Amino acid sequence: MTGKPEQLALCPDLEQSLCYIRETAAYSADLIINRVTVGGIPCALLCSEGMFSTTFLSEMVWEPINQISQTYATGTALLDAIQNHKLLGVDRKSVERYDTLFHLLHSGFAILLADGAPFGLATGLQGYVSRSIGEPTGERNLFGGKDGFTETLRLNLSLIRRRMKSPQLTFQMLQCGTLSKTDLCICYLQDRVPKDLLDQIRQALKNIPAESVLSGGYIRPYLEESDTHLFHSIGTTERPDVFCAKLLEGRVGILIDSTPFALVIPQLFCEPFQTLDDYSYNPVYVTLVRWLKYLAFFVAVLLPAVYLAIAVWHPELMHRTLLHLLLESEQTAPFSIATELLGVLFMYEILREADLRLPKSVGGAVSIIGGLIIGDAAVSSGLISTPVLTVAALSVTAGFVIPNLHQALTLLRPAFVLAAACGGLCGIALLGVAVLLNTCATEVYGFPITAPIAPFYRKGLRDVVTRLGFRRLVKGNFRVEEVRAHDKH
Amino acid sequence: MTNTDRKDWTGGQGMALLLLCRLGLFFSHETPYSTAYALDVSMTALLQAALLLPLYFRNAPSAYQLPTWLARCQRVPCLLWCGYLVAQLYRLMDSLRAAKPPLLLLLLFGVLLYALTLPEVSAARAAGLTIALAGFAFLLLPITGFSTAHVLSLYTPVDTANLWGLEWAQSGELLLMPLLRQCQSPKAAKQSFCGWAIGKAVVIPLTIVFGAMQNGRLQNWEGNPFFLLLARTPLSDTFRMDGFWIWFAVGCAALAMVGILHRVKSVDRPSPFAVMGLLIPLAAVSGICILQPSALPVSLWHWLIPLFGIGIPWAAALYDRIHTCHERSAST
Repeated sequence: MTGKPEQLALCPDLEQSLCYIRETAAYSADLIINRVTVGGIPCALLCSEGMFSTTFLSEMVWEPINQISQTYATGTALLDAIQNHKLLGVDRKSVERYDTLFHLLHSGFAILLADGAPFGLATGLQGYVSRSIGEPTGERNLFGGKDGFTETLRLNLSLIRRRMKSPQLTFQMLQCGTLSKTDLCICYLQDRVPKDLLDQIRQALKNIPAESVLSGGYIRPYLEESDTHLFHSIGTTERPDVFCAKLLEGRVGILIDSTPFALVIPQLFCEPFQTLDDYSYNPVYVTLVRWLKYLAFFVAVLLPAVYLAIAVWHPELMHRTLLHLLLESEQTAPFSIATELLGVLFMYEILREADLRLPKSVGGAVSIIGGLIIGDAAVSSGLISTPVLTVAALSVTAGFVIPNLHQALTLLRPAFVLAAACGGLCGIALLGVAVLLNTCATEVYGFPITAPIAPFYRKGLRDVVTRLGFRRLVKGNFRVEEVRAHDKH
Repeated sequence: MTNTDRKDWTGGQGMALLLLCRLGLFFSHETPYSTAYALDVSMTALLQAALLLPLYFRNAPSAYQLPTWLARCQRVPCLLWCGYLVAQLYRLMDSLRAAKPPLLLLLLFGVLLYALTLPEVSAARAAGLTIALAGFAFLLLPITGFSTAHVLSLYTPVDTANLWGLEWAQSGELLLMPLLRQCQSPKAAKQSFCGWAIGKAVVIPLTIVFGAMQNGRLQNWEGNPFFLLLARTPLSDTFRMDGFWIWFAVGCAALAMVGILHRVKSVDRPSPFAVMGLLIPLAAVSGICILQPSALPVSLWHWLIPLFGIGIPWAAALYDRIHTCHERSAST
């Protein structure tokens, strides 16, 4: 037997077929082949070790086929009888090609082959060990559900279905990755999703040339229109409740097997500033908090740069007392303010990365060393001035308010510091224009991320500039399609 | 739909770009803060709106479309205007003792180069966002302004000569107006036109009036940043509270240039060299204007802006009307 597995139909000769399967799998240790005679026909039951539940196997496969006492003339007749009269689990499929056989085998199915039959019977017996549902670590909230997505796709689907029992909610399975054959699931509400958006996403997913899809980051670049944009136009979430809220607005969600994060298309710029708790609090309070978050964004991006620009190029903008304080602090520091600021910001990034990558048992030490020893020692020794450290710490802390924008903030902060060092406030303004243009140019499938401000859409502002009460918010529910419609005239 | 698909500008975006063109020079150029000038700005805006009104409200879909060759001709005054704006911005930075103006100029050209590689609609959206931010400041202006305003400042005697001409010379947005129309639906163009007319005839004069009323206060340390975002501090003062509005000044000028250059670039299908083909002449014009300020005198704009901003669109509209009439008579 020659050719690629995906091109071949199952061979009716059991010996030849098993031989081919063993060779294709390169005698892999996890391939289990149990030979058995059922109804007078030589059969083989194929499983992949660790992917199935032995309890399910004995209850749903061994017991029913052991009860068969009748003799059958051919393998086809035997498998037909089993398929029609013996219930072998809920998820049953007929396998006619080797590529399907291998995919199902490695997805936790048991496959029964019979001599003389040009097909096999597959039964879903998935019983692999998976992480149980836990609280999302990156998107914590007070009033929402405490369950987050896990690595098991089917489990994630059940978390969504539990929240939305509407028949309009559709799950569509796809496979991606030429080698990994990772299962993806496109989720959407049939009556709300823009059809062209869905078609384009389907097409883009089918055309992904990647060998494997090990996380959302493997497919996101193929769905986004450019890698040069500072802000993502595709969002991620690990909360099923947030995911459902996005679907309700007519977005498309993508779940990836073995990834506890779902992708949501499209994501607008204002969305990282919104949390699920916003809808549990008093609207006035939420509006205030939201404005604080917008302010925090500007503080996180601009504070070090503005401080540098004013201190170095425009000292006359500062109050005399403040100027004296600054002069006193800077007199002992050996480096320029720009070098100090960049040093502190890069040091913070190094510490953050170290804290993230180190084992948890050691991770705590990083904050002690970084915060207390390095920070305190640097100021005491006069290497870094206190105002610089304060400004950098304020900027970094402000960035914690919007963790989803962390990547952009990390890039923009030193860039603005450099612009301020070169051109003062004018330099900041010019770089600001470039960033603004970059943000305004970011689109995904025709959805501009700067909506609902540019293009201006008044209805969309109800949950951006303010957060109206639910009674008013639910009047004419927001649909993401409306954003695109307002960009057309 | 992908990012490369061309998108029409919305009415609000067109209005924002037109106003930014005006505000860019408003902040970069010496603006006399006086009631007389506010009145002149308002009157000029009303006259300009009256002259252009029929082009938008009568047979607008067809009559206002410039032929390609005429749109190409429009490149010349637009480039000259951008060069003039660059020179004024440079002069502003220099007079404010900003850090390294030549380096900033290089940075500006870098931003323009980058901006021209982006889709055209990005400039219009950015303009919309900038005007929205300015709008918030405008909302705060009366609240913060009235408590400290000096009504007597309105009667400050100012030399009113040439103010009318100055406003005509600064109305660079008129050059963009015929080109703006090429990428907007008639409805959106109408909205842009109305927004621009209201902004220029009402909001900008009000800003000047507030500026005039605040002149006394600007001599003190306790300035209000929201007001100073819009007002002009005397450059000769020993203190400068210009830090906040200088962002807006630079932003307006840069975005106005990006908007104009995008429009000029997309008159016909641009090649990859089209961007450099625009920026090199622009750099040359800017260089001449900076080194030789009298190269593009104010008097030049007195006839260039009315000619290209109002005269040529009217000529195109009339030609179109005559041509249509001839075709009709020939067919009957």
